[in-house]
Amino acid sequence: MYPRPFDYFSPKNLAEALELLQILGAETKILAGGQSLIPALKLRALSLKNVVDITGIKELNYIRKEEKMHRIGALTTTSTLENDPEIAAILPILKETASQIADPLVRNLGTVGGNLCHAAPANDLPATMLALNASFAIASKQGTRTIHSDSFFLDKFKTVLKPDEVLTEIQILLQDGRVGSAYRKVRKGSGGFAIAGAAAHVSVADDNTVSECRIAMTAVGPKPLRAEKAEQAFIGKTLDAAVLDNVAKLAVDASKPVTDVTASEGYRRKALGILVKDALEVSYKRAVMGDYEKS
Amino acid sequence: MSESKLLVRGAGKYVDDIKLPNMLYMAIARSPHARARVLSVKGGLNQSDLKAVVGGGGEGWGGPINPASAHPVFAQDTVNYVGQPVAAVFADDRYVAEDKLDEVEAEYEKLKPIMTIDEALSGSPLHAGTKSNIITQRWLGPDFEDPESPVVLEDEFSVARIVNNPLEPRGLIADYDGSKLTVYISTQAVFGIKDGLTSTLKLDESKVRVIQADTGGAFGVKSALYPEYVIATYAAMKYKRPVKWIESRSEHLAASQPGRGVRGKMKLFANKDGKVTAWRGEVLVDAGAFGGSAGSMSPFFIGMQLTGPYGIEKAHVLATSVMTNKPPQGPYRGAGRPEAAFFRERMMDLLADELGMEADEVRLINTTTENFKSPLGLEIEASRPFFKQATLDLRYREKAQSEKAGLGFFVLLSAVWGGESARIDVQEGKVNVWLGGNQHGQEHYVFVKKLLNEELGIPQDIVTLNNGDTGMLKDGVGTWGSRSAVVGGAAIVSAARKLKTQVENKEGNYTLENLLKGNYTSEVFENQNVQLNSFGAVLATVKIDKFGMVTVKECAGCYDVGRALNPKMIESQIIGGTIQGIGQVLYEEVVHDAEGKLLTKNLFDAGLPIAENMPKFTIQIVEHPSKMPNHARGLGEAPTIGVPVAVVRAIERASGKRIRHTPVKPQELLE
Amino acid sequence: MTMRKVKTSFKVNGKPVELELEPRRLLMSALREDLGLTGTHNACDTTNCGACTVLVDGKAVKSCTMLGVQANSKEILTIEGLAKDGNLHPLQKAFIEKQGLQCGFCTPGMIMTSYWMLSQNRDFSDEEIKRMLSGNLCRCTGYRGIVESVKYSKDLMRKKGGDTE
Repeated sequence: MYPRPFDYFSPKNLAEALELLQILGAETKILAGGQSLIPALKLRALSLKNVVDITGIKELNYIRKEEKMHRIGALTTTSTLENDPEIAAILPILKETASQIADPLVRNLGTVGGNLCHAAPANDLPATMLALNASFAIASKQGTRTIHSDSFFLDKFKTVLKPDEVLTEIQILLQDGRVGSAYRKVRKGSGGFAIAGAAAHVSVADDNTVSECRIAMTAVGPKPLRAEKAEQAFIGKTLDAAVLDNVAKLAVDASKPVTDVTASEGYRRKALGILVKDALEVSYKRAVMGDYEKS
Repeated sequence: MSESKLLVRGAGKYVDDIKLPNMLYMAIARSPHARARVLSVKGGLNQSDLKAVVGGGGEGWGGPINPASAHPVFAQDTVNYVGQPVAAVFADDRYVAEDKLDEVEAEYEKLKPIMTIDEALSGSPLHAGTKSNIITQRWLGPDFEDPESPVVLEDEFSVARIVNNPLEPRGLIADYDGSKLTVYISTQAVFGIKDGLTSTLKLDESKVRVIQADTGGAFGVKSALYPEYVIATYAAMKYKRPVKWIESRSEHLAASQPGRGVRGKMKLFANKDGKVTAWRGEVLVDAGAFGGSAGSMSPFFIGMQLTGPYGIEKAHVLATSVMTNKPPQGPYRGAGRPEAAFFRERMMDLLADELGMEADEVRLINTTTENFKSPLGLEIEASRPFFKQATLDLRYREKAQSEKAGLGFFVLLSAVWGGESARIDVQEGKVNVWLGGNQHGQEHYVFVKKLLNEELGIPQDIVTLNNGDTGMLKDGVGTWGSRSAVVGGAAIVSAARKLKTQVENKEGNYTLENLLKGNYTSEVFENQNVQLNSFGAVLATVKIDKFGMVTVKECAGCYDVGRALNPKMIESQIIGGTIQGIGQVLYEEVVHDAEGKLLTKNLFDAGLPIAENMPKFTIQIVEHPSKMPNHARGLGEAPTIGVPVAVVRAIERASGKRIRHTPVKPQELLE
Repeated sequence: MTMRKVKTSFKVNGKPVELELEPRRLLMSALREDLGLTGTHNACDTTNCGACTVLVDGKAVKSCTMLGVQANSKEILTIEGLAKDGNLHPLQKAFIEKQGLQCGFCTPGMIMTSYWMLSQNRDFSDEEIKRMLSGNLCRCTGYRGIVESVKYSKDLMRKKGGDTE
C-alpha cells in the first residue's frame, strides 16, 4: 500500500537533472507524472534509493508546430495532448490515443514521455508513435541523440534509455499530400488496459491507391509491434473489404498475444484483426476526406 | 451513520478517520501459498502467541463447526488460502508497520492446492481429521418418483465468485484500558462482532463494547468476524495501546469473504402446456478453506428458494458446501438468492425455448393464485396477480418482439429471522435512537424519523439515529438480507408504541408536549418468526458489438416494497443493485491459477462497473402492504436477484448462444 | 530506514501550510493525517477508484498517486474547501437533493471531479459526464444519482448566477 523509503530530488532544469542522474547511480528513477512509477512503488513491486522529480522542468512541457514537424515536450501531460485543438486538427490520432489512456484524472498528471518510457506492453502511445514514424530526442550529460521510435522499445518495460538519460522531445514529421492516421483499441467494458490496439498511418496517391502504410499494434506482444508484411500488402491497393481482410490477417500473424486474466490469446487475435481494419479504414478516409471523423 | 449533509462535506467519521492517542497501526503478514505446511514463523505476533479459532469454535452458520476444519486466527500447522494471516506487526506509523512485514520470516513446504469444486469432491481431505472436503450436505424436500412427463430438461449452471468490494475497506480500532475493551469498527453488526470477539478471546462480555463507525458500504462482507479483528483486539489488550487495522484493497481482494461461487445442476419435469410438475436439483457451493462461514449454510438457503414464485408441487434438492483452498465464502448482496433465481430462471427459459412458448407465457402458467408453500420450504403469496401486471407494466411482449428482451421473475426472501432491537431515548426535548441494525448507506434515519413522526408526532429535526453501539442496546442482530426497513422498522414502531404507553401512564394522556417535557427510554427486541417474501420482475435489453462486447441498453424493473418508506433511497438502491447485477453478468469474478495464486489483483481485474456501464433505467415501485406494523417488505437485494437473469437471457437472444454461467466473456460471444 | 524529510510549503483550501515530509509519504496521507483533512478517502492501492481525488492547481488528480513533496508551491483544494461560511456548495446541495450518495465513501472524490468538470465552463452531455467520471468508482448508487447531481448543480449555479469559485 505504501512505498518503501527513498530519497527525493527536484532539479530546476535539465542540466541539473542530468547531473543528478549521473551522480546518483543505480536504483534511481525519474519521476514525471508518476502514474506508473508511484503505483509500482506502492505495491512494493519496485524499491528505489532515489527519485528524481523532473516535473519542475517547465521547458519540457510544450507542443510546438513547425512547418514540417510537430514537437511535443516529454513532460506534456496526456490531458494537454488530448485537448490541444491543433493536435486534434492535424494529428487526430494523437487525440484519440491520449483520450483513451486510463481515466481523466490519471491523464491530468501522466505525461507523454512517461507513457513511452514506462513501455508497458499495453500502453497506448508507443504503437501510435510507431505508426507516425516518430523520433525521440534523448538527453544526457554527454549531449543529445535522436532515436527513431522503431528502435526505442526493446521489451516489456524496457527501452534503449540508459539510467542517466532523459527522453526530452517527441518529433513527428508532417507529410505533404493526402495522409491520415487512426488508433483503435478495445478494453474491458468496465475499464482497464488495452486488450489489443492498432495504430495506422497511410498516404494515399492521386489515383486513390495507398502509397505508404505503417501499422503498429499494442498489447499483443512484449513491446509495440510493426506489421511490415501487412503494410506491404496494402501498398498500391484501395479501400476494399478483401484487401483489408488480407492485411488484417497478415498483421495478426505478426502479433504475439498471450492469454491472461483479462483475455485469451485467441480473443486478442480476433479483436486485433477487427481493430487493424478499423484503423486502416479510418486512416484512409481521413487521408482522402480531410476532416473525416475528427471528433 | 452521519447524514448526507455531513457526508457531502467530507465530515463523515469512518474508522480510519478516528485517531486515538498512543495508537499503534497493525500490518498482517500473509501466506503467499494457497496450500502449504508451515515449517516455521519468526517475527511479529503469530500462533506461538495466540492459538485460537475464529469465533471460538461452537456453532457456525451451517451448524457445529468441526474443530479440524475451523478457521484459525493465526495460521498454525498449515496455510490454506493465499492471503491467510500468518503473523502481525505493529508500529506508530502505518508506513513503518508495512516496512516491518519484512521482519517476518516464514518457511513453507508447498502442497498441491484444491482449486475447484470437482477437485474438492474427488480429492483427499484438505484438513487432517476430516473425512472429506464436504463441509455440509443436506437433502431438501421429500423425494418423489419421476412423473411421466412429455418434457424433461436438464442443465448445469455456474456463478463465479465475486468480491464484495464496498468502497470503504474493512477496518477497526481496538482500545483496551486495562479493564474495558472498546472496538470501533466498520460493520453491519456490532452485536455479531461483540459476540465473536468475546467467544474467541474468552472475554467478559460485560466489559466489551463495540461501536459502529460510519461505514462505507458492506454488501455482506462486513457481517463476519475476521481473524484480523481478533488479532487487533488481542494486540490491544497485550500492548495496552489502541490498535488500528485498515486493510488495503489488495487484501480485500485476496482475503475477505467473497460471495457467489456456486454451481447448480437442475432437472425439471413439465407438461406440454409448460406447467412444471417436479424439480430436481443439486447445489454446490465453493465455500473456501474452512467451515463455519456463511458459505456452509449457503447451499440450503439457495436450495430452499429454487422454486421461487412458482407453484411447483414436487421438489427434491441436494445442497452441498465444499472446501477449497480459497478464502471462506460469505454473503454478497443477494447471498444465494441470485444464484437460486439464476438456476431456476435459466431452466424456465430453456423450457420456453423447448416448447416454443413465450418466456412470460411459460412463467405465467407456473404462477400461483393462492398462498403456496413449496416442498422446499419457501412460502409465497399468490404470484399471478403481480406477474401479470408486471409483464404489462414492463411492456414485455412488445420489447421481446422488437428488442429481444430478457425477462426474470423472482422472490425476495427477507432475512427477517432474529428480528431486531430498537431503543428510543427522550431527554431535554431531543430524541436519540439506536437500532440493532447498522446502516451503511441505506439512510435508515429517514424511515426512523418518518415512523416516529407517524406514531408519536415527533418532528423529524429533533431525532438522531446514532450509529450501532452495543453499549446502548441489550442485544441486536444486524443490517443485511433486505431486512432493516422490515424488522428495524417494526422494532421502531413497537418501541414507539411502548413509549406512548409510558407517557400515558405518567401524564394521563399522550401528547407530543407530554413526551418532550419528560425523560423516557423505551427498548424492544422482537423476533419475527415469519417468512416475509416479495416479488419482483426485471426486463433487460442488450446490444452486442463486433468485439462481443455487451452494452445493456435498458433495465426495467417492477419491485413490490410493501410500503415505500423512502422512495428516493429505494430508487437509488435499485439502480445500485442493477449495476451490481450487470457487473456480475459482464465483468466481475475471482480468478485463481492452478497453483492458487490470485490473478484478479486490482479493481480492473475484479471488474467493478463504471458510470459508462449504466443502462437506461425504468423503475416501477409496487406497494402491496405486508403484515408487519410498518407494512414494509424488503428491497435491498432485489435488483441483484432479477437483473442477472434478465440480462443473461437478453444476451442469449441477441447472440443466439445458450448462456449457462456468469460472467459472460466477449470471447464466448464471438465463437 | 527513513530518508531525510523535505520541507514542503503549499496552500490547502486557501491556507498556507508547511510540512516536513518523508519523500515516500503520499499526498493523500499528508492531507488526511498531517493536516487532519479526513474527507479525502483511501479506497484502493492501484490508482483505480478515485476516492482520493483533490484539485491541484485547478486540476483533479488522485492524491494517492502523488507524493506529498510534489505539492510544493501548489494550491490544493479538498472537499473541506468547498463549503463557504457554513453554506454548502451547489454541488454538495445537488448531491443531497438528487441522491448522489448512499454510504458517502466515494462522495468527496466524486464531488471534486465534478467540481473540476464544472470549472471548465462548458456544457457536458450525459455521455461526457460519465466519461469524465471513469476514474471514480461507486459501489452503492449505480451512478445515475451522481450524474443527475452534476447536471442539477449546473442548474443551481445558473440560478444563482454563480460560478464554481
